[in-house]
Amino acid sequence: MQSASPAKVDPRYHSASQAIPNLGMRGGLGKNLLIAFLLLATIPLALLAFLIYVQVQRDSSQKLLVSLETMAALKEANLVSRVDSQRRELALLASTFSATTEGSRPLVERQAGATALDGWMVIDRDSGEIVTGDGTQLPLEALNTLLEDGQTAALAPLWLAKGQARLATQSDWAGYRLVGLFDKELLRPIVFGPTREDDDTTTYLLTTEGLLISPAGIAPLSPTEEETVGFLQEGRSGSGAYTNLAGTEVFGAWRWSPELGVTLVVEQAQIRALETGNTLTAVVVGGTLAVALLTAATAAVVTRRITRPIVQLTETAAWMARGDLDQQVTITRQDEIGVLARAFNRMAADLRVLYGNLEAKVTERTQQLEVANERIRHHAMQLALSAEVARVISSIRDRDELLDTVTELIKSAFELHHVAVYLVDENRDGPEWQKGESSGAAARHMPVDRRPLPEQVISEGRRLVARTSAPGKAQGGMVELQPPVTCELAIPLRHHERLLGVIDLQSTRPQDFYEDDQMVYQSLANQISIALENAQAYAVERETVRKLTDLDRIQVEFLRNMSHALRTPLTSILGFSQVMLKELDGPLNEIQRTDLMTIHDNGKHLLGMLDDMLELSQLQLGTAPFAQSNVDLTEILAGVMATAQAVARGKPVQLSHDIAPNLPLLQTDGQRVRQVLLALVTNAVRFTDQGTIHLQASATGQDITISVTDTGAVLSQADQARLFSNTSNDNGGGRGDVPGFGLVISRQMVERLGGQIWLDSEEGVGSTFTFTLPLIPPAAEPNDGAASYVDKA
Amino acid sequence: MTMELKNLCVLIVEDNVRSYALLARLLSFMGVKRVEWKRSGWQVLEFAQDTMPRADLILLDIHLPEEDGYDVLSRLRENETFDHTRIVAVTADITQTNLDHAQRAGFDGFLAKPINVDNFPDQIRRILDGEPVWDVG
Repeated sequence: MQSASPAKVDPRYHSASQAIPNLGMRGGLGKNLLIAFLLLATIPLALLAFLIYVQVQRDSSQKLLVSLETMAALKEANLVSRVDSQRRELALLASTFSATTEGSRPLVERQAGATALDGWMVIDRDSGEIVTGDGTQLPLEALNTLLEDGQTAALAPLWLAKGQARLATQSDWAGYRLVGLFDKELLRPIVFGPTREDDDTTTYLLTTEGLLISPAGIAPLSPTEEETVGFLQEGRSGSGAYTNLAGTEVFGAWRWSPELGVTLVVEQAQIRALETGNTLTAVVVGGTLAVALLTAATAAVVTRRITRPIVQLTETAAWMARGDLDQQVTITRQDEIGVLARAFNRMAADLRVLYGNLEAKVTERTQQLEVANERIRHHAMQLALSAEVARVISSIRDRDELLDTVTELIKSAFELHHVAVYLVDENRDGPEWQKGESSGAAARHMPVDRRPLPEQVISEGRRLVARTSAPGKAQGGMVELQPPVTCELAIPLRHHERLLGVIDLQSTRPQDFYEDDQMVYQSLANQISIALENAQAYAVERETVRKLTDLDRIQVEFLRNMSHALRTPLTSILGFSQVMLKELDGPLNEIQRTDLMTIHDNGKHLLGMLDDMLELSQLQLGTAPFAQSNVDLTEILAGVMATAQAVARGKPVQLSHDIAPNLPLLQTDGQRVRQVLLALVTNAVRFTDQGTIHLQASATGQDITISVTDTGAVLSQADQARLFSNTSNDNGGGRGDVPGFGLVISRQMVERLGGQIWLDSEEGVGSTFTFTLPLIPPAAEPNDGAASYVDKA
Repeated sequence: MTMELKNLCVLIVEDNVRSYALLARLLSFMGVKRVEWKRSGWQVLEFAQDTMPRADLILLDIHLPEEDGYDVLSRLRENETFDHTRIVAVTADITQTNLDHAQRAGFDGFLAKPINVDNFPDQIRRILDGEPVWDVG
């Protein structure tokens, strides 16, 4: 089975089974089948074997018992026959003995010696004493109990010397008893001896008295032994399985001999007895096992044949479940499993096709999603950059700085190769442009119709994109160390249909500068156009301001120089007219004096105007010095009132004042305040031919308010507006026709001192000039470097 | 220091001949016999080296060609010939700036142009008496 390539497996399709599927189930079905086979084959065989075994056991024990019974019967018959033959022999001997009673001793002795008798004795029946014998000692009591009256033979275990068991027979004879003793060895061949060569039986005799006669000897039974074999002493014959005296499981047959008063027992150990049966059992069991083994092998082969393709199918299905749809089952059988495998392969193929489609769709959707994400990211970046550009636009007024910043900003934000802005130089018509470009990589333009792209854009006036047809091919035959520029976008910068220049963008990414991107860059280009226009406008404005300022300065300077230049000749006019009026040059007549007076007065007027011009120019340039000290306004007001009285002398004008007591001290320039007050009061006196002039001063919060009210000519609204401006007029004698620049200067001074001045003028009421002064002056303004204009006159 | 006006020797440094003429005229009416006229500071120093016996009062115009009055003043102050000479600025620039400048530079007085014919004799007398006169017109 081919292993699945991990790259092919889409992790989304087997997240449920991260590990390789556990295929330990390979043996599951096989095991079940195998066990079933084995059980089916083994259980009947085992039953059969068991039955055979039981039958064999029963048959063999039956047969054994029969054989044992036969043996016992034979042995008993032998024994009885033997004992009978002994008895008869003894009887014969006895008869012989009786015939030769007294003198027959040697005969008996001879006869006895010739017989198989082991010993013999003659016992007097009455006294019970041994009359004669061969010397064998026998306990008489034992002999008496053994051979009861009339009993001709007894198998009596007698304790004799050396512990030998003996059999005794007796034969009554003429008041005597002839007792013959047999050696137990007599019994050996007929009772204890083996009946055949492979005889493994044990034979022994049990007397009713509880004596055990075995080849080992004659011994009484212990009580426990009696209990064990008690059933053998009941005087019956039989056979069966039992535990013998040695504690061995035996089969035995026993035969009661009433003549001898003993039970003959023939036993064979069960183990021995069943040996043949065991062999048969072993054959049966071995056969069964062999059959079982054969069955198992067959079962294994069959199982394998059945389960292997199934396991293969299962494994393949598991792999497929993990997402590896390239799996194929390689089973070429024609049976049902083959059919199943083919069906499975067909299903897998269908699945593969389906999954392939699905995967293709997912890939497609993923790509679409990525594209969408990229667009969103792009859009976000565009917005951020637009904001940044807008911020830059609002903060940068200098065009070159603007271009540098914008190109750097766009290059780094959009990760472009090179960004440049080319501006059409309005002063030249040629191809020489001013430009700003990003630092780092140099521009590598893509020629269109053998002209650089920006130039082409300038001439066509529309957005153009150029792309290399074979990306990666080095341009100009040079080996490029950097990635080559693959596309270039140039967008014309316009403002109100006027071509300002071109922004040129170069990228090493072939996917750049398609329709979406172009819109982004177009919007940026629009912003840059506006910024450029703003910068241009700002530059023009700044230039204008500079020129205007220069003009102002020139004008003020001119005024200063003029006033000074005019002053010198005026000095002479005034001085000499004064000299003449003082008649230093000789006496004057009345007409001469009047004329000289006119010359002098006008000269003074002219001088006043020149002084005002000088003052005004200084105020406007900001070079007028302002002192600051604690000023007592009351004092100044008193002085001004005195001057006003002098000026108004000879006019029907009433002067009054209303000065609040305890006016606070002012931090100001007293001289300037006096100048302003004087200007206002003299102005009032001048335009009031008759009526009142009222001076008022009061403290209001942080200010002191001073007003001068007169009942003179009332000014029109237009005149009021013009009054404080330095546009001179010449409308002939109206109040707006202010001599000199007194009020203009006053306004400048009041404003410099931090106050305000205004006029309320109303027909029938009069005019009130009011100005305020702060108790504490505003922070001094910087002197504007105007010291350079101070003339060393 | 009170001295007879007729013994007084006054030096006028003035580039404008009419201004000089007016000042000379006024001084002569006051009885001053010796009034010298120089057009520049350089001429004053040259004059001081040979012919000028002494100068009791110098009326120095600030607005002069080549060197201005302040430069002339510092040169004069370096020369011991003028140790006891009163030097007064006479100028049409009557701004406070100029007045302050004049005071700092070490002038003994300040007379505004146009000269006030009525006040002039008194101002000269006060200057000669050692009083500071700072007239801005």
